[in-house]
Amino acid sequence: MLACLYNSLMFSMLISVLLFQNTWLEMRINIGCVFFTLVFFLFIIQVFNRNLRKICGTFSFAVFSFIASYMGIYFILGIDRLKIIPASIIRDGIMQNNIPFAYINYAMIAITFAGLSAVFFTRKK
Amino acid sequence: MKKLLLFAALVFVLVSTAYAEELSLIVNKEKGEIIIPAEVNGKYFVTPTKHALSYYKGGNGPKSIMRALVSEIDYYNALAELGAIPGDNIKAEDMKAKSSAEGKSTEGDKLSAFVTWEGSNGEIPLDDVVVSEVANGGKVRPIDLRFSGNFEFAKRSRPGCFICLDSCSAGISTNAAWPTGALNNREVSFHGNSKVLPPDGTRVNVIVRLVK
Repeated sequence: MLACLYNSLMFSMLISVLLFQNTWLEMRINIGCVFFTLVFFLFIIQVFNRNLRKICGTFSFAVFSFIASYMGIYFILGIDRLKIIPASIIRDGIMQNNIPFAYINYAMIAITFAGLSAVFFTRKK
Repeated sequence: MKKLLLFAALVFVLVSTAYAEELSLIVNKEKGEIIIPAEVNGKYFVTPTKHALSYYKGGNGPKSIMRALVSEIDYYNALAELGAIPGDNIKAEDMKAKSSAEGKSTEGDKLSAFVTWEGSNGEIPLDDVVVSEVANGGKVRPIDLRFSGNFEFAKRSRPGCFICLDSCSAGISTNAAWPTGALNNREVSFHGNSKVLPPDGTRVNVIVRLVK
């Protein structure tokens, strides 16, 4: 279950960053809201599909989703935009535009590694 | 668990209300100027946008280089108070133009805009805080800011637009240098100038003057 939530967070950010690249879309919708909607639906899909849950609900898949998402986002955005765009997506999603990007980046890094550790320690042996 | 949830709710309420500070416009009739309190949105240092200044509670508030901390309705009224005449010549259908050749430029009294902040070296012209990237090596056009009006649309739809960087049917003041259709045809794109503007979240004042 935790691994499914982790995968949802990782892949939702990757998809949101891809959507963000489209200026027309970015000017018209709140990509931050899209991010949280995607997290919800990707989680539901993984949890309620038994076959998918078997594949995605493992620690190794969580590691894959972490690496694939971070690499994908890095290649799409480059280092300078990486420090701003994912944080701005979260900031728009929670509608708190006065929170500095750095704080959101720290929180995202903490969630990434704490989440991966939690998936590792709660895995079925 | 209950205590934790209560604490989380309290933190959320505090964070939400921390932004509730409403300021007011300063109108100086003698100088023919309006001072608008705003904040820099660092997201648009690295992302294109057509909005230079929008009300933070408006539909385009988070999509602008600077977030105004006062309402665009107050801005319209302040310009009217200074005696500026709106153009009101751009309609929603004009925004569907496929290129600037097909498009229409905004009319209305000419305005000039500047930005100041603590530590800024005087008043910085809007042209310097916005980077215009013209396609195919085209010539950068200086911003020709006009009092476009669009009051009925602003009141009805509340997009929050103070200053649009092309001619627009939604902004109170928009840029006549780029007709409608220019952005649809990707002839130009705009973003904030991180080399000139202060960092994300910095309080700035946008000064708009009526050019006589």
